[in-house]
Amino acid sequence: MLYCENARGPEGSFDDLAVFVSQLEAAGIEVGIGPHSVPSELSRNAIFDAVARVRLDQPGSGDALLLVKGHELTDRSLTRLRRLGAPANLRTLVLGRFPSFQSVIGAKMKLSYALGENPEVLDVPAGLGVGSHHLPVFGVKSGRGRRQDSRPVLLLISPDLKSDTQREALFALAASPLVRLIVLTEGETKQDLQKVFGQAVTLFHYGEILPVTLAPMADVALVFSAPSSSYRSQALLANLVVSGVAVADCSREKGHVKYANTLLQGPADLLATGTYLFGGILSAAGMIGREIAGSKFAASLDGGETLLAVRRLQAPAEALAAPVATGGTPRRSGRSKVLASEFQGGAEPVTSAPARETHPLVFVPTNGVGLGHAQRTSLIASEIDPKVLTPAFAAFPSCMKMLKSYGFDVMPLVSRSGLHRAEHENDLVNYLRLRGLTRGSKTLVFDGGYVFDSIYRSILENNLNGIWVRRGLWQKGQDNSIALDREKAFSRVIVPSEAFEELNEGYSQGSHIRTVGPIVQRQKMTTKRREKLRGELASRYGREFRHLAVTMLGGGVAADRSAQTAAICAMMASRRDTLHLLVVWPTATVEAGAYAWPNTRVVKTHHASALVAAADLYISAVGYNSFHEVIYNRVPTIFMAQMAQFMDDQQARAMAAVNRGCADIVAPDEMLSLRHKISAFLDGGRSAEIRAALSELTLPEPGNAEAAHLILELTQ
Amino acid sequence: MFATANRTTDTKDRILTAPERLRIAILVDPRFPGGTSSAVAYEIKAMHARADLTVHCIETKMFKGREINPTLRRALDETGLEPVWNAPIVRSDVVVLHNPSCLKFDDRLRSRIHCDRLIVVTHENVLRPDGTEGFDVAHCLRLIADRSICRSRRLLPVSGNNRQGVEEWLRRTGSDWVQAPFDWFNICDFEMIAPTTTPADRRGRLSRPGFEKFPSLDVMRRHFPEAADCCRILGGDSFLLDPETLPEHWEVHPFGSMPVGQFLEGIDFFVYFTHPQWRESFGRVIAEAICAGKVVITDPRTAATFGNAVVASDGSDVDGIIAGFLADPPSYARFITHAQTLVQGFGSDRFAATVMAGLQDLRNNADALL
Repeated sequence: MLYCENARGPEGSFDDLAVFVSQLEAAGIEVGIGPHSVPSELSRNAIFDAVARVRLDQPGSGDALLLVKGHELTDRSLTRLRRLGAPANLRTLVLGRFPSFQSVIGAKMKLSYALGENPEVLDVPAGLGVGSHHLPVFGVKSGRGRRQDSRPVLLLISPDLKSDTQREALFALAASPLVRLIVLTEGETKQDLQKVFGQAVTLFHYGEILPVTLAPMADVALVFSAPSSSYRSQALLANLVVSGVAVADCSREKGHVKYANTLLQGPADLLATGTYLFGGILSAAGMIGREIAGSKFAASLDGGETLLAVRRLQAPAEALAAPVATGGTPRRSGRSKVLASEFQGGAEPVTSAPARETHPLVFVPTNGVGLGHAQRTSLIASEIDPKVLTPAFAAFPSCMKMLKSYGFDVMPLVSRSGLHRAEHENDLVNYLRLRGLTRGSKTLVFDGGYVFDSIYRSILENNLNGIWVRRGLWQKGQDNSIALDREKAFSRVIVPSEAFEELNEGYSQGSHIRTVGPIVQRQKMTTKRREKLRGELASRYGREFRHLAVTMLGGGVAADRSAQTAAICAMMASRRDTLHLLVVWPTATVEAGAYAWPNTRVVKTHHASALVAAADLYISAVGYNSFHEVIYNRVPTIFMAQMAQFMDDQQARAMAAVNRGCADIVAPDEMLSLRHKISAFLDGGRSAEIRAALSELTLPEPGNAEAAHLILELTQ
Repeated sequence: MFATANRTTDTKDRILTAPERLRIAILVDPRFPGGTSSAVAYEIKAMHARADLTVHCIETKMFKGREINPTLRRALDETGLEPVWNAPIVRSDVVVLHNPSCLKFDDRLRSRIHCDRLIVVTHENVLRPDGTEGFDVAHCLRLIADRSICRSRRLLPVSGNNRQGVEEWLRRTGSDWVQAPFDWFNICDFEMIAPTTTPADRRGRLSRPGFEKFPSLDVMRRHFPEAADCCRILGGDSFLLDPETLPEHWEVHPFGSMPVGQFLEGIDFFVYFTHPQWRESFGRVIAEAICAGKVVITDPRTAATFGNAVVASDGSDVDGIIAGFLADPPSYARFITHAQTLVQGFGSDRFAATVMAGLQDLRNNADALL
């Protein structure tokens, strides 16, 4: 294992180091960032870049040290290196600016006093164009990235978008049916553009995506920025070139062509870009890309002696015999062992990771206490013939038992906790786990509202078909801009529709958006089966009943429904003819008092659907799954909506049924009204009215099978 | 008051009519922080009375922004010599250029040298213990050769160790530089202080703070253990940078934070090991400790310069050596008294006699480079 350290320690550029290490990883070199080069403060993106690469342990026997920017050694950094506690035979390679023999001698001497051994010292060739001369610039060819459709992808690198005219030109390009547009720009510019364009333009900022991940996504790249000393920019250009992307220098001064005349020259004005592209460049992009990839310039990006030395450092004996593979297919870094050792200081050697099972299709529902996303994905996954494909799940603990009961393998994710210092800390762990689980996978299906970094990054970095099962009916005024921004990582968005048309609303456009019928669990509840089930309940609870009422108000983080639950139990206490089942998920917490109410029984189950379908009255929250089970299974229901800011618009959903005479609704604070409604349902014939109205509905065909088909289509 | 280089007359004339008092010009970057400057300071004081001495100072990139070494400054003040800075030409019978490593970052030597005999004193070991070069020797010597016109040009080592390295380097590179047959050793005219009669396990070491001056942390911990009565380190700046690794029982002082004499008063054993990848070319600090009445324990190669005046050790038996002296206090005093006698062999009289004779031999065996 190589430990890559910055000679300036945490004071050095962590971004440079992270990009460099990611490039080495992609070139098949097992390398991590050493513990002394991580600053105490990092941006959120940098933390995610770091967490998969930082080694917290000290190098051991057989490890080696790769020290970059070695010309910037200071006493402080030497002190840190002396602390490494490295074994006496720690092999070290130092890269940096060493233009003279004396500078090489000086670096060797200083480091030998800190580390105990003379390191190998190499002068890094100058960078592209501007001679940044600190880190070796080399290109890595990756497999072609996933696409949302068959259109070629046009990557615009730092276009000048200060004027309205240029922005309009960008918008026109984004609207073109001939290309799919991606813009790479600075963070602030991205924010500004998002305000203008919304989701109409796919935007990345530089720190958001590593060059090795971005380059495979492009077919044509237009570089509007002047040659930059930024290692990230140089690595991106190198990756584009060796990957066979048609690259054009669209900078005003045409500075890139001065050091790489194999690149095309293009217009700096976005107004001219369309003519330039559609006049022939786009149609010939494949050929142009191959020409560029086969050029001397591309050959010069093979890392040369520097990368050879790094390979020798990794495995001295083998490297001498093995051919250099730069520019070839990337080898997986074998860091899957990080999954097991993420908080053990990286103690386990990653090189000896055993071969592990790969899962072509992984579902990732996000759930806390409620299980709606997990239930929906399990319904879709159940439509997949296990002889064809066996999906695996990654899910939070609350969902695991349910998913396992359906027969799926589940890898646990870590829930957010108040004990975490930052709100995304659990997601760092999940990122490592998901990244490892989906290495070698083809498709990741996500069901949830917010696309976590772990999911977003796993899809991009493992080059997966990302499929987002995204139910609609977001509340008015919700800010879903971050979630929608991350739609760009997904090859397909499956939108399970609502049963009632007025509830369906599009949030983004494109051929990757596929709407399917409602995902719903239908119960074949015949009269005979219904009576049998009710008889079993009477037997189980030792009492006969005339009416069966089921309450399932949800709760957890969304809303506290303990007062309403107690009120309903109190109402049911006077009804000796009624069995009231208070149904909760097995992971939910139930007030102890609930067990003491006459006529009420607490039922913890993942399989509430059958109970609900057999009920004369169902008092329910209005989540997507509950609602559609009510509608499709024709259950007389009084809805009590949950209204948390981050949830879907349950009130609107409930009202669509209420307005059709297919359900009633009460507000959470209208307990007197609820008492009247319960009486109307159980004693006044309201249940029969509702059931009749439900029977009259013409409902769309459920979309379970179609969703499964859309997933299989990308996976197989 | 001595004047500048313009005061000298043509070198050839001087060769034809050699004066009774030898004209010697010292050429040095006076900003070396450690042993080189101290050695030159003593040399100025020793040779001032014996030769027609001038001091030329050059500014090299190695010490950019630094001040003149205070010890050297004091020597110049005491002798009344006014240094000539960056003279275009340094003319003299003999020019002594001290420590050529100071040129390692330069592209040229600022002063030209016109002389009969050019002496280059190799204060810095040209080879490290593992045989690799300590600095770009060829580059530094080339800069000197390119700017000097002389009849003979010699490398002068400061010790036997130093000589071996130069010999090996000359053999390895085939350089046309020649090494003189005598050493330009450091003058050690330190005040002799009688040893204590009641030694204790009070250990210490002093040096510049460079990383090369210290062995690994593990070795340091063994040489300065908690069991000792006292462990003092002067010049341990790099340990102070990383206080978490600092053993609580160590008393660490930054370089230059107290007078050397005061520091040495607090110890009885001077335990001096450098990093195994580096070695002192002379070990002036060792002589200073001996003169201050301390038993010095050091590695065998460094010890070789001082013969029986120090205890040679591979570092594994430091505790045993100290325990032996503590068990027999009279042996402690006897050892130091004998050591101080030996160190007197590095005095200024001996230096003057050796150097003057050597320079005369060089005159008789010049290479006729002119």
